[in-house]
Amino acid sequence: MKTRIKELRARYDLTQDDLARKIGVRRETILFIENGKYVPSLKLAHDIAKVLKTTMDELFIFEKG
Amino acid sequence: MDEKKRFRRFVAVVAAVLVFGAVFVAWSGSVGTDNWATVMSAVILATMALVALVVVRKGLRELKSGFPRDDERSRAIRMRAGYIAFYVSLYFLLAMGFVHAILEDNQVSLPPTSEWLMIYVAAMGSIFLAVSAYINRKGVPE
Repeated sequence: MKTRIKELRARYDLTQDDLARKIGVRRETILFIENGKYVPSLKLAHDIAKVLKTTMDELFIFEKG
Repeated sequence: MDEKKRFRRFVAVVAAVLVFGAVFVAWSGSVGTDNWATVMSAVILATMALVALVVVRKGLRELKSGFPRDDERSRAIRMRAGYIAFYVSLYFLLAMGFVHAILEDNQVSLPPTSEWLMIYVAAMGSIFLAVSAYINRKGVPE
């Protein structure tokens, strides 16, 4: 799984800390999602998409295989 | 319940467990029938106290920084580590059974079952901690 979280965070000038505080998770969770090492729940994915003013489709890219 | 209240409740439970453990170790030592069990209980208690110290310090730091103490990822890590620790420790128990049987066949004097159980509990806890640390570094498998 790839994400565009890093790119969108930069667009809105948000650090990992800022994004984590806004959605109420630990900073490591954002780090691991960005690196594709953790697949978030539907609710968390929705919350991230909402904060970054985008859709889940735009935010997460699932690769086949 | 807010994060501060939850943390206070967590610290209270940890303190109660440690106090109860210390009373048990002291009582076990005063009875004085089984030194090995007292030593093992003390080792387990010391390990628990050390882990509690690290966890509480980390929790306090996180509370001050405004991050939650745990979230869905840390819960997923705990669940996965608990699952793995349970199954691996079953194999450990089986191995202990074999060792016990072999030693018994060779008429080696063996410690009582309670001590074997304590070793099993200590092994289960160690496996849980090791697997938690590994998953925390490598990422939660899908």
